[in-house]
Amino acid sequence: MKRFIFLMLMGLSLNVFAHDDGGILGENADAVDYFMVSCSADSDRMYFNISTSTTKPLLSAQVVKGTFATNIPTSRGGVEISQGGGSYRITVNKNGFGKVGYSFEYHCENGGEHTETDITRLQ
Amino acid sequence: MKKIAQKTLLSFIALSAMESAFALDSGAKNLTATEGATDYFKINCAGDTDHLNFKLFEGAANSVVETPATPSQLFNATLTKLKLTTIVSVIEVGTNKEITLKGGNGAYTLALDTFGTNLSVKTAQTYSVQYQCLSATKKITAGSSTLTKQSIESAKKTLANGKTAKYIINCAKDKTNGNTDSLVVKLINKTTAVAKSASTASSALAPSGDLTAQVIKGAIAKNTTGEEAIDVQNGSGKYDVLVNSPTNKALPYHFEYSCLNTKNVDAQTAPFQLLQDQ
Repeated sequence: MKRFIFLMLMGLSLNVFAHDDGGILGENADAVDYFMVSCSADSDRMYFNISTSTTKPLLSAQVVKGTFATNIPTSRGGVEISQGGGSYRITVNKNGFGKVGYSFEYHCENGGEHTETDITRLQ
Repeated sequence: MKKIAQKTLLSFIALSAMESAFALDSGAKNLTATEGATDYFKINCAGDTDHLNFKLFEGAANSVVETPATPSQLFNATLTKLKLTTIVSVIEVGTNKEITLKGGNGAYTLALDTFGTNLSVKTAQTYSVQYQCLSATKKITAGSSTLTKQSIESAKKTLANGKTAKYIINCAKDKTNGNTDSLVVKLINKTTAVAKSASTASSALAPSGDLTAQVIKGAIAKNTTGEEAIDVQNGSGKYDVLVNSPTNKALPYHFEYSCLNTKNVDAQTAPFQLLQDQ
């Protein structure tokens, strides 16, 4: 019982730092959901992880900051993107026709610490 | 049945050739199998761009053939008043010419056409006009037109190939400088030569879903697997293009792009800038 309460508290404490979002991409293959994550100036990177329960079409996200861009298919898992503080642009899309629901986790970080993190949905 | 199929194929080939006549091609590109690999380009659209038209092609480009610059686009001007006519021909891209008619006071008609332009060129031409009504001693008399005020260069106009534009310019007596003796019109061809540096003969494959591209500008983003061309409508300025693979496959590809105005004619498409090649 003590162990159960401890795990419950651990869960609550982790949720304090969790940043999660998600959405549903429409049927069309050209559909894109578009977010902007703002990391405070003291951040040195952003963590990003996207997942879906759908296997087809394949879902990917792209993270762009300045002249850097990377592709994050759901198969890639969590990625640390070391591009400092500022705005990270995130696009979410798929490789074919069909609705896809998804969720993602994101945090701005400095070393092992979470830093101020905001998100805006652009599209 | 076979004939119909052949005709359809020929029409398709002709249409493809026509489309590529005014789109710029990226030339052969390769995406590596590196995890997260993304090629990143910026395309600058200037002028009166309304949207960027973008088409992704999966597959190896067989060859990249250097083609000569787009054949000359030119326009001609005719100035008439009653039975008097002056013609000036061949005002080439980036040049200007003057046309004069000694017709006294009254209404002059300025007609512009594109006769002599290579008909395969579909890009509309842009130009501006400036005029002055002059006395016999070359002093400015009274002049007016809906086109623009006297001595002031008009706003940029467009003229599609094969079309004619007509304007009326009125010259009258001026209180100080007396009667009009002649009308001088300066024609400035502002068309930007479409610099299609390379055309890619491609063995384009049907999209497999292994290659995707995103076109982004401001708060607007679109995705494509290359099934069909996409239009991203966000005016002039820089459009970001990302090319990547959801399956982390190494793939050859190329893309065509064109900055178009609201009439779907080329605005000003500059060659892309490569920001990241992976």
